[in-house]
Amino acid sequence: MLKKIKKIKPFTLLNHLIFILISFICIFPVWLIVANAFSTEADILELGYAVYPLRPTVEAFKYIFREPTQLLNSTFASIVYSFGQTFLSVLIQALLGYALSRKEFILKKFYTVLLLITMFFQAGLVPTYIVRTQLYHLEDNWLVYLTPAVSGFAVFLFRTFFSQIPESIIESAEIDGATQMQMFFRISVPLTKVLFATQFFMGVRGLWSDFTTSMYYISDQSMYTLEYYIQMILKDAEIMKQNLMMLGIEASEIPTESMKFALVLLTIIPMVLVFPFFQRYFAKGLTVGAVKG
Amino acid sequence: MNKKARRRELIKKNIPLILMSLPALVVLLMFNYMPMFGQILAFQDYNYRDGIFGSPWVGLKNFAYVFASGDIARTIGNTVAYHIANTLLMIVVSVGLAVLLFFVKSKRASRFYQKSIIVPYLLSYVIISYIVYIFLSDDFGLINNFLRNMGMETISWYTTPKYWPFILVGILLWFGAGIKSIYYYGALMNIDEALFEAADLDGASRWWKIRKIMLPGIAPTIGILLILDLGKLLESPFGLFYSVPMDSSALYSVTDVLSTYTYRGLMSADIGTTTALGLMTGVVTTIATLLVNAVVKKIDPESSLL
Repeated sequence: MLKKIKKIKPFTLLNHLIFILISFICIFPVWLIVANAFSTEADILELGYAVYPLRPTVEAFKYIFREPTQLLNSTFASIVYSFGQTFLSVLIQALLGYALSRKEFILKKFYTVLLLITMFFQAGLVPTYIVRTQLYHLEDNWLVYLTPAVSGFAVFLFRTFFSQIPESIIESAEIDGATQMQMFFRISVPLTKVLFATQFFMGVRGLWSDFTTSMYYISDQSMYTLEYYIQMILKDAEIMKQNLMMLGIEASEIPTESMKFALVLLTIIPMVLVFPFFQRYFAKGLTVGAVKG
Repeated sequence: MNKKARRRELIKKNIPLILMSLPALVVLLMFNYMPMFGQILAFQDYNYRDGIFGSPWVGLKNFAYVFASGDIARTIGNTVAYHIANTLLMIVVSVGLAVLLFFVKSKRASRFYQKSIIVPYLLSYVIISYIVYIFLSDDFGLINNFLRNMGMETISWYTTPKYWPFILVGILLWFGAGIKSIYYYGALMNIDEALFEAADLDGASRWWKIRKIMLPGIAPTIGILLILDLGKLLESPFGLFYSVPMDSSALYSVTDVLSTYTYRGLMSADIGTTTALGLMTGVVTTIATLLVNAVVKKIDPESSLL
């Protein structure tokens, strides 16, 4: 029997080779973190950082979970910061976006100008820091993580999405005597789920990888976010070792190098788990909303 | 009576809307407008004891200090140079990737490649710092290990400035080219299929299609993204320039940018000067954004802000 042999053109072959190389360049560095998290400390100290684990071990993770207080505290702080703040910001922005999408809203002009100014002129880090810490005393306090942000861009995006909801749906709800709040939660939110999902994911992703808020405003170590905690360990692994040494473990016994990468790996996992869930919404939700109107 | 009733109706409808907008108003005033007002610190000799309302006024002294400092010229130079190098290389790399991706006909392969090229974008700069450290660490780094095995002299990466411009631009490309190329890929997919079919009938070469159909097809997207990038001329990702070079002071000559400089100013309580610098870069950014917006409006009114 003659099999149909597909002739592969040299260009197609070359193109695939290029992309296999590029995919490798993109994925290999992440693999290096995995490789070192599962390497034995002895191998790293003797042979340098691993490209693959010579003798795979979960030793580093065992040490991390022997005294997980800091890890748990930091995970909690990261969750409060990324999920909590994003939730509040999205809600507040969507509420304003909804008001702006209503024809009868009399403060439309006022808010549009107010938001546009913030889009074109931003106060720098220093005045922001001074105002937050000296006027509002937002320091070493959970509110540091929970202060919502209002971005003009996001509000206008919500407004654009809400105003695309057919007038007839809203009118019939009005006739049924629905309040504005009911119309917001029961009609507008469910019809624009895509936008909510993207805004939420983008927000969580951004805050999860931010270490500066902890760095500027938090001095209590138990309130550091994961990202700031691993940023500190990068420079000096001392904090990571302290707690274990208090349990009576010898400093020389602690697998410092592999533990660093094991911790890094633990901070990546939540984002990797969440990402595919939101990916399908991406293309639709990222559409730019026009501000005019 | 009609007018009065309509008015009452309008007010009744507006009360809940105003209430819904209030949380945003509070946030905007407290966290956007108050810090803008805080720019008055640029005209003060701020000290924490007297605070924002009690510190002595010094006129334009802080601005004079900013202009007199050589560090600041270097910092702004670095910021702009990295931005321009990154923007230009980014266009070449990401458009190139998008075009090549367009020629991948297998759906499965294409989806896999798309997923892998946005992997770097999902990482944070702290995590990237760890990855860079795996390569560059003095004692355990992969590169120094390799050099040692080859019997060559090792390099103390974190104290040798000359390599860092390449390392940092390389990271920026590695981090952003994937996601940018996906945008361009989307633009390529929007080009009318008929154009390619007609070209195929004429026996046009791949190169011809790239030059005559694909590049013209995505030129507006390239233009808009390029112009929007210009508005961010003075922006510099703090994580990249602070965390990746491990804040090594030996590297400041090539790694110091506005965001790291401002951070150090804040840490050393140089409040007045740093605010003055921030105010000036803020004004430049505003002008740039307005100009950019005017240009975008000319080319593609849909994408402009105002």
